[in-house]
Amino acid sequence: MQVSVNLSTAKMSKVVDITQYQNSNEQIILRCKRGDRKAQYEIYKLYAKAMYNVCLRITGDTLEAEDVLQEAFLIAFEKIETYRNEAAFGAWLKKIVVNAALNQVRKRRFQFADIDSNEDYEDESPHEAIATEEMSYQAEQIRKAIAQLPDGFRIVFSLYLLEGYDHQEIAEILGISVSTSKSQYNRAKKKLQEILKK
Amino acid sequence: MDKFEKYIRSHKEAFDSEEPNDLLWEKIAAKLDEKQPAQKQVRLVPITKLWQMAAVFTALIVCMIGLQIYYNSQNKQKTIAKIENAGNISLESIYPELAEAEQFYFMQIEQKRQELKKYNLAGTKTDSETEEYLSELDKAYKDLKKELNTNSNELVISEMVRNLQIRIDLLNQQLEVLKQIEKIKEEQKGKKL
Repeated sequence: MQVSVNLSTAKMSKVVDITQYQNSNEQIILRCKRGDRKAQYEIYKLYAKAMYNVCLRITGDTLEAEDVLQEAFLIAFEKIETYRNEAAFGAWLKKIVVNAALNQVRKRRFQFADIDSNEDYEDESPHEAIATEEMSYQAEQIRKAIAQLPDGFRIVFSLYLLEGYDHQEIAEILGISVSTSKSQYNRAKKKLQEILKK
Repeated sequence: MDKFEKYIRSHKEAFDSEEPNDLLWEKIAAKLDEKQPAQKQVRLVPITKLWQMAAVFTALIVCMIGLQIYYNSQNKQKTIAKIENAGNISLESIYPELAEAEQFYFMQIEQKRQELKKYNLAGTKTDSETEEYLSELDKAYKDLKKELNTNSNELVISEMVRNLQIRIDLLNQQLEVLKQIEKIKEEQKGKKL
């Protein structure tokens, strides 16, 4: 499959989860640009939890997640002067966080599980349709199961389903092909359901 | 997209259940301090300290206003003529209050030095260090005095007073340490007996 280059603006539009604070944020962001420590703390309070969970899903380790979160906030406060309201602040911040987290994981040189190119990654697994009783899985159980996935699975799965990236974008930021992204995703999903069935 | 995926997508917030360590902000703030130490920062000061600071500040302001009024009432021509004499200008003619303070502090400093001499420190490292420090302060003081002749302002005056206070603090600390050592020696002697 051909990987076409995506514009970063398209990427941004996909990642707008935290938009509700956008307007009230403007004043705080302005103060952050002046280096106001109180305003920086306000921003931290608003976003730390959500961003920490992003870090945790990508790194899969609480200590690493905290290091990454710290680093990402420092980068964000340093670069905040370049933030021009072109996207929701949350989305802008999340991009920094995801990048920092991926850089952290890359240091580990994680491997994507080997792919058999014949594998039917287009398979949306209809024969494994989730039974209604399985819908009662609490998000918490699923979250814990995601944490048990190997690096490659967990990252692709989280980026696609929770951080709102599409396979094209995932392929780009991870430097893999779109087909690898899709197959990793599908295999991650199967593995996840296996873990949950136990 | 199957039901499983839909379920996760529609319950995204529930997956953000973990909390970062409470101390993380402290770490970030510390790093930010390193990067931009000169930023205006709000530091909490205990209320008693605040009163002390306010009192000191008020006293200083009153002092400055007094000096200013006095200065203005002086015959400026006369003053300038004296300044032009340069070099060893007497403070008394321009800032009698400062001159008085200077005299008081010098007396104190001399007294402490005499006290210090009783400890027979001459030739020791402690002694030479103290002397070196004091002479540096003295040099700085003389520079400040020169500065005062050409550019009289509150900052210079308060720096001069601070310079004198530092000397007294330094000597006091030395004496305190020496007294402690003597006390310990006494105690040990007592034990041996």
